[in-house]
Order: sequence, then C-alpha cells, then structure tokens
Amino acid sequence: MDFSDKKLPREEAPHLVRISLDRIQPHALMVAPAYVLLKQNQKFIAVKGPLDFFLPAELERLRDRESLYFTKFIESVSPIQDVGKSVRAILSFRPQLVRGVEMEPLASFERSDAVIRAMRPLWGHGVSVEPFFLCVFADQICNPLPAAHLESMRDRSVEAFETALLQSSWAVTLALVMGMCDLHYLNRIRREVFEGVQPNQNDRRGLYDLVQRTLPSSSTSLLRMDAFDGHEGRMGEKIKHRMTRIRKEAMEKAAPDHIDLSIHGEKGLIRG
Amino acid sequence: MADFRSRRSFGVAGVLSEKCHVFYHTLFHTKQLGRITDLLVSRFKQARTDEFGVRMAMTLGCFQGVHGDQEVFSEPLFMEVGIDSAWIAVGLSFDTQGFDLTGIETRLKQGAPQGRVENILWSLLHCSDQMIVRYQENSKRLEIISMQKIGQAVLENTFGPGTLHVFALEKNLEAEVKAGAYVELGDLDYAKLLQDEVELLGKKVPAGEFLAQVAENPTRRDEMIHRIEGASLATSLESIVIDGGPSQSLNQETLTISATESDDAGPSPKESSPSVFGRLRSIVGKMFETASQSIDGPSEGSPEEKHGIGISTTEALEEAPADYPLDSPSAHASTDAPAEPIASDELQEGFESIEMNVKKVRSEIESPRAQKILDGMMGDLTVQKSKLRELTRNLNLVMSQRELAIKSERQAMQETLRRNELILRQRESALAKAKEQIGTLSNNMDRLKATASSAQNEAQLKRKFDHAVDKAQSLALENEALKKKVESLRVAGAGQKEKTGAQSELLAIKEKYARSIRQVEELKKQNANMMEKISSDRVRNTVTATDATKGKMDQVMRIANEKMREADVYKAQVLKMEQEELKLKRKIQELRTQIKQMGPKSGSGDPGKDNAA
Repeated sequence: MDFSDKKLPREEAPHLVRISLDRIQPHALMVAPAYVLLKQNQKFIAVKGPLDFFLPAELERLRDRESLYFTKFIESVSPIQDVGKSVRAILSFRPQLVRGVEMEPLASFERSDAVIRAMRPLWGHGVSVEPFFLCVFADQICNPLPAAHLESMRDRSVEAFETALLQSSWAVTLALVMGMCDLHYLNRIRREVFEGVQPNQNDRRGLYDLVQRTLPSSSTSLLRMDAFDGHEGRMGEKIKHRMTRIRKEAMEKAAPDHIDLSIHGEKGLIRG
Repeated sequence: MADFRSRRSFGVAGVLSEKCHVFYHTLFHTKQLGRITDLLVSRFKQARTDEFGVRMAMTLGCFQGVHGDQEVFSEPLFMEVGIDSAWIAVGLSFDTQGFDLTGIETRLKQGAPQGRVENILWSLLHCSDQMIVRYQENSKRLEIISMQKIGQAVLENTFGPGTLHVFALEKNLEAEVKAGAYVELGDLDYAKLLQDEVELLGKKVPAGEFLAQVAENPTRRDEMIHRIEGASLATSLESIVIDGGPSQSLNQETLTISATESDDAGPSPKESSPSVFGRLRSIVGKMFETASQSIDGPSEGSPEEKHGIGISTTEALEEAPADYPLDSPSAHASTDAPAEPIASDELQEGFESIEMNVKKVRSEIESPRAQKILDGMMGDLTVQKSKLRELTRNLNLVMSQRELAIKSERQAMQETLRRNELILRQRESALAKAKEQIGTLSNNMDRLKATASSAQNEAQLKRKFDHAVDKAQSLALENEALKKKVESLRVAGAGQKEKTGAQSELLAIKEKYARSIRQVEELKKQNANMMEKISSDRVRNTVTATDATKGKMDQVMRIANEKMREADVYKAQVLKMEQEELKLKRKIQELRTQIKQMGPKSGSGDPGKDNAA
C-alpha cells in the first residue's frame, strides 16, 4: 500500500512508537509502516508498508535490531481495533455453566443488534468508511488468513493482494451488517473472498458479487452506504435498509461517536 | 396457478405484494428458535395472523434444514418472514445434500409422501394455505415457503393440505423483486415485543445495547460507568436510553398490515440507586471481559494472540524516548523493572464487595428476567473468580519465574561482560606485544636490507683485498728479486763504490728499499689481521659489515694503494738503477778495455788482480 514517508530523519524519533520485535508475529498484517533505524545513515527506513506482513525469515534477519518503529498512526487506529474486539467479544460470547445448568443463551437477534450497535463508531459522516480501516476492523474479528495464501497472493501481485484483503474485509463487514453473526461463517467468508472462491451457494455468491461491484480495486478510497441505492438485488435492499437504521441512529445521537480518522492528511499515511 | 410476482427466484418478496415487509434473519443453530418465533408472533400479533401456523412453519422448516441431529447447521439457514395485506409467508432456505423434485408434487397432492423430507413437507402443507417449494439443482438450494391467509386461523379452517407449488429453478434466476422494506430481526424492538427487558434505573435495556456497551473498549468502561452512575434519574440524556431506537422508527413506516406492538409496552420506570446500577454494570462488564477472553479456547484462539502487532497495538505500544540514543540501555529500562506480584487479597476484597453489591441489587430488582440474568452472572462470576484466582496464582508464579530468569540473565550478561573485558585486556596486551614484535621485525628487516647491501660491499672488499694481497705478494716477490739484484749489484759494484758517485745513491735506494720491505711486511701483517677478522665474522654468521670495518677496509685499501704507488716508485727507481747499473757495467767494461789497452802499453800492471777485482 502506498504511503508517504518511506524514510524519516532521526529527529523524528520522539514522534515514533517503538515496538519490540518479539511482539511482531509473522504474517500479521501491518496497520502502519514499519521502520528500522539505520545508524550509518541516521535515518529510519521503512521495511514494511501498511497491509504488508513479515515473513519468519525476515523477522529473523531483523532479530539483532530488537525493535521496530512506527508512526503515531498506529495508535490512531486503535479505536477501530477496539470496535473489532468488541464485535469479536459479542460473537464469541458463550453462556457459561452455572451450577451445572447452562445459562440461557443469547438469542441470535440480540447478538445481531449488539453487533450493529458496537459497529456504530465505525461509520463516519454520511455513513461511509475508508476500506483500509475495514481491513483493520476485520483483522480483529476474524482469525488470521492462512500464511501460505497470504504469501502466494502477495508474490503474485501486490495490487491483487491488497484488493483481496480489502474486499474480504468489506465482505465480512457487509455480512455483519446483514446479521450473519457467526464467527466461523465470517472466517469462511473472509477466506473465500480473499482466495477468490466462487461458491455455489446463492447468498454468499450474491454477497461476493456485491463486494466486487462496490469495491472493485484497492484504489477505491471511500465506501459510502448510498452505493447500495443502485443495487436492485435482495441483498442490496437488505443492506440499504440496515444502513438506514445506522444513519438514523447516527443522526439521533447528540454527540457523534464515530471515529474521525482517515489515511489521508497530515495524521494519515498519505500526505498532500 | 397463483399469481406470484416472481416464481423462479428465491425470496418471499416474490410471492407477496410490492408493499410487503420482509423480516429476515440468518440462523446458524437452533438455539433460541423459540424466542425468535416468539418475537415474530409478537410482532404480527396485531395483524391477526395465525400464531400457531407461524410457529409450525418455523419449526418444521428449521427441522427440514437440519441434516441429522446436530443443532448447528453446516450452512446457515436463511429465514424470511414477509407480510402484506393478505398473506404472511414464512420462508426458509438452506443448502441440501441433493433433492429430487421429480414426482413430489403428484405424491404430495395424492397424500402419498415418500421419505423423511416429503413427510415433513406433507405436515407443513397441512399448516399452510399455500406452500411453495423451490429447488435449484446447481446450488442444491431448497426454499420452502409456507403462506397463510391473514385473519384466518388454520384451526378455523377445515384441516387439510393447502395448495402446493413446486418450482425447479434454473441456474440463471429471474430478477429478484423488491419488497417495501427489509427488517433484520435485530432491528426490531425485541425488548418491548418480548417484554423481557432488564429493568434497571427505571430504564428498559435490551440485551443488544447492554452487550454493545460492555463490549466497548475497556479503557472507556470506567468512564461509562461513572457517567451512568452520576446521571440524574429523571433528566439524564447520557444514560443508555433504549426504549426508542430503531424499532420506533421502523414502526412509523407505513405498513398496510399494521402490526404495532409497543404502545403499552413496559411498566413504569422504577427508580433505584444509580450506584447500584453502576456496580452491576461494572460486574457484568468484568464478567463479559473475562468471558470474551476465555471463549474461543485454544482451538480458535484470540486473534490478538495470533496476529501480534497486526492486531493488538495499544498494549504493545511503547513511546520511543525523545532523547538519544534510541538503542541505549535506558530505552529498554522499562523491561528491566521488577514486576510486582498481583495481590490476590485485593481481588478477594473486590469480589466480596461485588457480591455484597449484587445482593443489594438483587433486592432492588423485580423483573424475573433480570433476576435470572443476575443469577447467571453471579454463577459465572463465581466460575470466573476461581479462574481468576488460578490465573493470578499462575501469573504470580510466572512473574517470579520471569524475574528470576531476568536476574539470572543479568548475571549471565554481567559474567559475559566481565569475561569480555578480560578478553579485551588480553587482546590489548597481545596487541602491544605484536606491535613490539612488528617493530623488532621491521628493525631486523632494515638490518637485513643493510646486510644485503653490505654483503655486496664485502664481496667487493674481499675482491679488493685479494687483489691487494696478490699485489703485495707480487711486490714482495719483486722486492725479493730486486733485493737479489741489488745484492748482486752490490757485489758487482763493491769495487767501484768509491769510484762512482752512483754508489751513494745506491745506498740510499737500498735503505729506502729496506724500508719499503718493512712496510710491505707491516701490510702483510695488517692483511693477515683483516683476514682473521673477516673469517671470524663469517663464523659468527653475522652480517654486520659495519661502517668501522668498511672504514678500516678503505684505510687498508688506501694504504695498499699508497704502497703500490710507492712500489711503483721503487720499481721506477729500480729500473733507473738497473739502467744506471747497465751504464755502470758498460763503463766498467769500457774501463776494463781501457785498462787492458793501457796494460800492454805500460807493462807494469797485474791483469790477474784487476780481473779478480
């Protein structure tokens, strides 16, 4: 993914966040560019861009450096990650046994309602969201994508890899919007869209087609909910009506609780 | 055949009018199916729908969707319940292992179903005024729609099979028709419809809002609790208001089959202590947090654990220090700080406090559902408490182990450091020695170079010396010869000494000659000494042809040259003397001849004596 600062002067150090290399997992998607400090050049050089990942061998090569450096952008995406964590917590919630008796489980409509409420901060003005943040969001909810698929897809084409990542995240988000509140099913959707699988199953195929139409490439900068106005299908109608609720709730809120965040601008990844 | 808007596409909208409302939901398991049915029935209560028919359709349809005895579907079951002015349609679609439509219509119409599926369909047909079965072969997707007339209960009718419509769908479906509205079941005001809201602080809180709030960022939870606790009961706008929301807005939409539900919903608000509410939320929040962490277990795992930085950042973030150097030990100082053990007493106190508060809350809650939830939560809390204790114990153990490991690591590092310093010192001394050796070697090299040149000089000197020796020897030989000649001349010219003036010169020359002989002898001695010296140098194998030796050699050569020059002078003198000798001989000869000539003339001389002389 393109970003502005490939190199940073050493004077930027106070504005960077240092993270121990031990905490960086192989194949974990980066949410911000990762820098290393080159002492000879006195500069921070980006070794990985956003949405990229480290291979185990790459991490091993960097082992003597101990830490990687990230811009403060990595902190600014944490509210999005928190939304993802909340959604995962809701989806993962299972009733516990109380005195040998299983507690009354949540009804699926309660879970669906909770998810929509938890996702509220995700939507910006005009119920829109930048695809990059959906990727951060979905990455929190779903299990990691298979390492082999990540590697092969990236090796084939970085552009296609990023598009697949964004589309799979968008598919997960739309599935949640449509009330498909099952972690196992969401993981499956994410994997299938990432791998470009065309399922026989009508609903999933419809969802994947919808994703393709609304997010055709990684250059799509903003996903607006009015994008579904032109879709005649049953699925598009369902999403449109669900978004009406989100929009209404957002308008009814005295203080907007959405996360005002963008990858563009001074605090973002792409400047100018 | 019935006049459907769309026959050959999935969805209940195709069998209802344009203004129909479709309530949809995705089912992944059969749990809480009763509550879902309750919600739908409650939603359509005012529309005079047949409650029993809807329940039957839901149950039988889901039964059809379940393959075998599992309660979790292998593929989700998509439920759509549409309603318009005349009909309510309960549609369930799901993937099958394969389904044969051949002859099904005839068999069901004849009342002769075959197999489990057809028997269920036969049962469902008896609960429906119309039943639509759609099947797409390529996707193996089956949709069953049970339609009932509104305002007419099944039991009021003559119980018998409804009209059956079976459609085999092609791969390419017809264009899907629109419904007036699509509503996800989660968007319904289920708390009011089911009348099972948790009544706290005079507000009815649906489970969704409740869950969404407690699942929020833990860092904001305390703030939220504080906000709720501090809110005024009557005027709080910030407290969680759930009674409006999406369902209200949905209810406002025009529905030809009006199914209102919430005018009389909910008892009057009951006031209770805000702090009690806050504490309860706090308890549940903690429970939820703990539960959410322990849900997936090792099989799926938390993405936080799996993703590393790609997922969890806030906990992992560390500010880079403003001062340099970045990689200085101080930059990592935080990791060296000893960890404080978690105080289990504090936890125990916290739990006890929570339990006391919950007891208070229990006495103030009247809603049976809330009581039930609270019971569940308390049970869960007990389980979590024991887990937390265990975790605390383990964590303390791990922390102490970690601390120990850090200490031992530090000691090992210090030891390594000491060793390194020692090695460094040794290396420094070795380096100094090496430098010294290099100096010595360079000196030796210089010497060797000098020696190489002096060896050449020595050879030259030797040659010169040999030459000088040869000359000296030849000179000595010549001198010997000259000596002999001088002796013979002395003998020959003894008689003529007084007679000729050359005799005095001859004596001087003789003296000089003797002196030169002595000098030659001295030279010989010096040469012998030098030879000894050179030979002794060779024996020592030293190549120290020093300047002094060179000087001596030069001196020797100088002396030798001088002596040679002197010898030349002497030679020349000897030659001169020989010439003079020859002259003298000739004169003597002339004198003899004159004497002989004079002898016979005078007759008084003795020629024998003269000859002898």
